[in-house]
Amino acid sequence: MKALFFPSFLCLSQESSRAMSMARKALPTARTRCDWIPVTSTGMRKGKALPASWTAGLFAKLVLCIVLLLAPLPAFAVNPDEILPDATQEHRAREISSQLRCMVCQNQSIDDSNADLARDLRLLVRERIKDGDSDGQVIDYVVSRYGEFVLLKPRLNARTIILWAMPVLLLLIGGLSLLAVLRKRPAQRTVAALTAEEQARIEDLLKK
Amino acid sequence: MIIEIGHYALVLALATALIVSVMPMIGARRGDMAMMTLATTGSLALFALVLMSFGALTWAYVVSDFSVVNVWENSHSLMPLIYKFSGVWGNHEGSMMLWLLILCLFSAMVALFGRNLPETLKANVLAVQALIASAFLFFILLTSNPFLRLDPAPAEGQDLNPVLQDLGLAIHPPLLYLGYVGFSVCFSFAVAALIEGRIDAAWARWVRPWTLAAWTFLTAGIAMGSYWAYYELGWGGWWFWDPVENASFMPWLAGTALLHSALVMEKREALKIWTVLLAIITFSLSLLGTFLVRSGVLTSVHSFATDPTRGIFILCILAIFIGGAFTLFAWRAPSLKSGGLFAPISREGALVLNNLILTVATGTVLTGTLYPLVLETLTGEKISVGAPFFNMTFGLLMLPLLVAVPFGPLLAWKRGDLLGALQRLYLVAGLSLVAGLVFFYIYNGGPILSIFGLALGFWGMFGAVADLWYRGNFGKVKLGVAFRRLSGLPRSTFGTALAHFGLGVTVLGIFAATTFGTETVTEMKPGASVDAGGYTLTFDGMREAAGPNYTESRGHFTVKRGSVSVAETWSSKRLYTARRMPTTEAGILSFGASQLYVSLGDPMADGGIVVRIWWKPFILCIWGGALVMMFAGFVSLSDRRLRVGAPSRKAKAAKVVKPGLEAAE
Repeated sequence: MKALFFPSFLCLSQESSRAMSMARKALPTARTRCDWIPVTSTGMRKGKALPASWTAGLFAKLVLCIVLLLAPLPAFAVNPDEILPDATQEHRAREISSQLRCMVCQNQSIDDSNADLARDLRLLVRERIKDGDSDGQVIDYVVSRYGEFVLLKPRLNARTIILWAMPVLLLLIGGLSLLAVLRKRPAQRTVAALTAEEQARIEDLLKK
Repeated sequence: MIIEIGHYALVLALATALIVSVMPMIGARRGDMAMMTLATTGSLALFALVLMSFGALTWAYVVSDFSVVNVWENSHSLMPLIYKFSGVWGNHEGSMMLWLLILCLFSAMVALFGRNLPETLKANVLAVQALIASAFLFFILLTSNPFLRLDPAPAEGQDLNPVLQDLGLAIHPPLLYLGYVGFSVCFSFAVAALIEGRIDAAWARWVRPWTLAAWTFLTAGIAMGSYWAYYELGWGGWWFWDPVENASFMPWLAGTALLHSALVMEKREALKIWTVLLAIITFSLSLLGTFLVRSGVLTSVHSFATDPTRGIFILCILAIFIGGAFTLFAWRAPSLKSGGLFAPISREGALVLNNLILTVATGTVLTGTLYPLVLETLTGEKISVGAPFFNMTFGLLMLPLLVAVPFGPLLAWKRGDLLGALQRLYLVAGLSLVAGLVFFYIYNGGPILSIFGLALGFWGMFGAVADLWYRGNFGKVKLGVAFRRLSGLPRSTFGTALAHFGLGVTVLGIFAATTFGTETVTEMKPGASVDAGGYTLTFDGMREAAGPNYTESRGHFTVKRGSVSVAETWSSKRLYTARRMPTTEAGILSFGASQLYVSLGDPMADGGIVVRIWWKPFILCIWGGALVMMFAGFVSLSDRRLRVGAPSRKAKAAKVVKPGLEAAE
C-alpha cells in the first residue's frame, strides 16, 4: 500500500533509486540457497559501488523507473503464504521484521514493505526462526549480511552514542541550567537592589 | 496573458517586499512616521500582489493551460475540478507559492489587526516578515518559477500524482502551512523585540493570539495529514516517524512549548529571554522543515517534488534567517532585562517543566531525524533511525509530561500547593485507573501494562474535567452558583481544559488502537468470510469499474454482526491511466470510534485474492482528540482579552495594579 507504489514513483530521488538499482542487480543471484536467501550483501553495502555522480546515473534511473512502472505489481507486505504455522514464531517474526529496514524503500520496515527484497528478508527471518535462532541471533545474522543500516533502531556504539545520549544530555543541560537559574535568582535580586542604591547615589553625586 | 500578469505580479511583489523590509526599519530607527506606516500599506499591497499571482496560477490549472510547464507536469484535463484547484499546491512550485501566500496573508493580518501595537514594533515586525517574503520570492523566481511556458503547448497534461488526488490534499497542505508559516509572526515579533531591545508582558500578550492561531492550524494540519496517510496509503498506519512528518511535528512541539512559556511571561514577566529564544527556534524548525521537504535531502515517502539545487538555495535562506536571528539573540539578549522570580512548585514551575520536556522531545526528534544524514556526510557510514527509536525515546519523554498535565492548571501562580493538588487529583487518579481496568477487561487482550497506558488517557481527560470542576467549586456550592462561576471564567480557561482533554483522548486512542487492534492477512475467494473485531466480513466478489482518470477493480465486502448485516464496503485497486500508476483505496467502515479497514492485495492464481483486514478499536480517538485540541485553540482565540486586543503598554502598567482580575484566571 504505502509500500505498494511509493518506491516506483519516488525513484527519481537519488537515494531510493540508488538502493533500488542495487537491489535489482542483487536479486537474480539472490536465489542461490533454499531458493530465497539474498545475496551476500557486502557488495550492496559498499559506498564505492554507488554511482560517482548521480547525474550520470540519471538515465539509468529513468530506464529503471520505466521498467519498474511497467513491471508486474510487486507483492504486498506479509503475504498469506509467508505466514508461519506456529503463532508464537509468527509473532516473533513480525516483531523482528518491524525492526528491520527495507533497504530499497524510503522509510519502511520490511514488515510494511512490498518490495521483493523485503519479502526475501521476511522469509529469511522466518527461516532463521524456524531453525531455532533466538531473536538476537536472527538480527545479528541480518546485520552481518546487510550492515547496521538495516536496523531501524541503531545499536549503541561509538558512532551512535550521541544519538542515544542526546535526550539524556538535553535533560541534564536543561535541568541543570534551571537549577542554576533558581539558585541565582535571590542573589540577583540583592545585586539589583544594590545597583539601584548606587544609581541613586550616582544621581545625587551628579546633581551636586 | 493572465499567466504573464501573474508572473509580473510576482516580480512586483519582490520589489514591494524589498521596500517593505528596509524602509520601515529605517523609519523605526529615525522615528519617521511616514516610513513606518509604509509597513502597513506595503504589507497589504504585497499580499494583494501575491494573491493575484497565485490566482493566475490557479486559473491556469482550472482551464488546464498546458502551455504552462507546471500545469502540464501536474494536471490533466479530465481531472475533477476540485483536484485542479488543489493540484496547484500538489507540486514543488505551487506549494512554495502557497507558502508565500500564507506568509503574506499573516503579514497583512498583522498590518490590519495590529492597530494597537506601538508603531515602531509594528514597523519592525512587518519589515522582518517582508524580509522572509523577499527571500522566498527570490527563491521562487530564480529556482522554482511556476509561470514558465512550453512551446508548442502539449495537448494533454501528465496528471497529478494519483496519491495526491484526494480531498485530503485539498485541505492538508493549506492547514499545515497556516500553522508552519503562522509561527513566522512569532519569529518576527521576537526579532523585532530584539532589535528594539525591549520586551515585556505586553509583548507576550500581543504574540499570544498569533502563536495560538498557528498552533491551532498546525494541530489540525498534522492530524489531517495523519488521517490522510492512514486511509490513502492503505496499510492502516497513522504515524510513521517519517522525516517529513517529523519536520511538521518539531515546530508543533516547540510551538506547544512556546504557547505555554508565553503564558508565564504574560502573567509573571518571567522566562522572557527563553520565550524569545523559543519563538525563534519554533520558526527555525518550520524553515528547517521546509528545507527538508523541499530539498529532498532526506529520503522519505513524501518527497514527491524535490530538486537538490533548490535545496542549496533554501539552505542559504535557512542559514541567513536562523543564523541571523541567533546572532541577534546572542548580541541583544543579555541586554534584555530578565525579571520575575518563581518557586519550583507553582503554575509557572509546572509550565517550566512542560517546556523542559517538550524542548528535550523536540531536540530528540531533531537529532533522530538529522543524525543519519550528518553521520553519512561526516563518516560515509549509513545508519537508519526509524520508528522503533522514536517510539522508545519520545514515548519515554512523554510519559512524565502526560502524568504532569492535570497538575499544572490546579497549581496556583507564584506559590502552588502540590499536596493540595494531589488531594484534589486522588479521585481522578483512582477513576482513571478503574476506567483503564474496565476498558482492558471489556476489550481484553494485549499486555497488562497497557492498562496504565489507557489509564493515562483517562487521566488526561478526567484531569481536565476536574480542573473545571474545582474552578466552578462544584460540590461545595449550589449547582447554579457553580455554573455561574464557571460561565464567568475566561474562555482561555476552557481552552486549556479542552486542549488537555483532547490530549487525553488522543493518548487513549493511541493505546487502545495499538493494544487491542488485530490484523488478518488471508487469501479470500468470493463467498469466504473472516472474523475481525466481533464482526464477520464476507467477500462477495470483484468488479471492474472506471473513474474519470483511472480504472479500478473493486472488491465488495459485506459486514455482519452475528447474523445481521450491518454494513458493506468497497475496497479497490486503482490504475491511474495517465501515469500508469497503481494505488489502493482501502475500504474503511466506522463503528463508533472504531474502524474496520479492508485493503486488497494481489490476486492469486486460483481465483482468490489476498485481503488484509485490520480491526482498529478507538482509532478515531487519535484524530478526534486532535480535533478537540483544535477546537480548544479556537475557543482560546475567542477569549475577550484577545478579541479586544492587547492593552497598550501604559494600560498594561495600570492593569498590574488590579490583582483581582489576574487572580480570577
